[in-house]
Amino acid sequence: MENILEIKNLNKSYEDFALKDISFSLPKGYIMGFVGQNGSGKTTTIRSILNMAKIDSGKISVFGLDSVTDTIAIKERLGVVFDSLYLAEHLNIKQIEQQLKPFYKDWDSKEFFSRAKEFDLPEKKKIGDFSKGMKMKLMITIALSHKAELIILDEPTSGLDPVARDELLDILAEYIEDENRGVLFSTHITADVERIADYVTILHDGKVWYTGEKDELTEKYAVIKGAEKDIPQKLKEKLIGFHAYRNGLRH
Amino acid sequence: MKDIQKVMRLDFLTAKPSAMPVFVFVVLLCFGMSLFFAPLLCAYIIFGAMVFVIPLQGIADKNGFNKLYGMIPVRRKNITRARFLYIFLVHFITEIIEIILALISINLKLYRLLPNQDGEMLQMIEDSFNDNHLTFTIIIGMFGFFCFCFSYMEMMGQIFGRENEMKILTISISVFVGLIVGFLQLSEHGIIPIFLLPSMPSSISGKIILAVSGNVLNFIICTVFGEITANKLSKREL
Repeated sequence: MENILEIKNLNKSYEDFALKDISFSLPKGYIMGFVGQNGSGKTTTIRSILNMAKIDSGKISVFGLDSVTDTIAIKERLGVVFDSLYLAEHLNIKQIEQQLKPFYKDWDSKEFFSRAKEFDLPEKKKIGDFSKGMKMKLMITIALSHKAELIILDEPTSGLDPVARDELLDILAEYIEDENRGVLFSTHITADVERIADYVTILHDGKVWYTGEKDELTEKYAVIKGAEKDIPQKLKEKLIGFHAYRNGLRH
Repeated sequence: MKDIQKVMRLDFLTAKPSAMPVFVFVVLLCFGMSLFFAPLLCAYIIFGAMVFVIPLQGIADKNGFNKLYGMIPVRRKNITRARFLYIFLVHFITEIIEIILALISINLKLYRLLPNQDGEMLQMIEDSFNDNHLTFTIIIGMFGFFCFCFSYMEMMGQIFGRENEMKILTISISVFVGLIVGFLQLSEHGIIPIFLLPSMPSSISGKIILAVSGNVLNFIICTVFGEITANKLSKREL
């Protein structure tokens, strides 16, 4: 299987936080959920892929190209969805299209407007007045208009209402029908991963805790709910985490 | 260079919706008045150019344009460089518009249609139409001054942060005034020789050469400021 994204031994340290030896890969035609608590290093990893953070060591390849030296060629074929638009919010989508068009060789204006129509994005409304869900759709419209082969989304579903979340996940599922594409999306909503991801990478405290197929993860691990006293000792030895609730019998 | 052109276009399209109506209004107002009262009023069109620069800085900062390089295929340094060339180009195009409109105004001499042709006021207007030297000196001088100020403020704002802009402006003006006063004091007391400004060349070709040199100098200043800022910022992680 050809990898669309490959990270090998990525290290990046800040004063109070470090990514330690991050390695994972995403094969073409699949969706990877990038999971972890707040502050586990998901955004730093994504920023490193996008060459926004200078890595200390390691190698990141996107489409087989180096993320630092070939950053322009990579971004021609990459779509990014952040929690912020980084576009002029007083403009409408027509004006945004005019602005972005020259940056991409493969830009397709027809595709842009037909996708915008499909996603019900109003042509005359300022993008700053868009809801969070609409902003996400706009970013995806931009990615689809320059025929992005890989879409990276940084916590796209947080802050979205359930309907918008569902819509977004459907869009991603439809996007991945083309087997030459890939999606990496970071989230801490595990339900989203369960629903559409084929692969999962879990970060914990700057390290990869698990990376691989989602099905393998669900086969290997399970969630047991109940009172602590009901869990047999043999099973207790195999527990990797335990959470007691205040409204339970004990805390 | 193509990258820079694309980012300049992006900056222009960002500023255009709100700036264009104001700019057109300023052009029409200044040109209309210059037709009847004094061609040098065309020099004030430069204030219209400001609306293409000042709001853009706010919009770019608010929306994090400096992080665009993470999304679109453009180098971070080119985003910074483009802003400085944009500032130069906005002022340069305005200067060209001013010169063309001033020439039209001078040649039409519409003040002749004004009533009270023998009045003192009309004599003053006629003098202003005959003093082309002053008109073009002010146009080129104002272009140079505003272009320098805006590129300097852009450099300081991007390096030290917009929130420190007023502080930096106050310090810069104080240093500049201090140097001038110190210089004048030293010359007055004979410590350093009195510096005389060279007189303007009298020939038209001489004036054109001087004007072109002023523009080239401003272009170099904007490019250098852009390069300094791009290098400083590239060392910082966003």
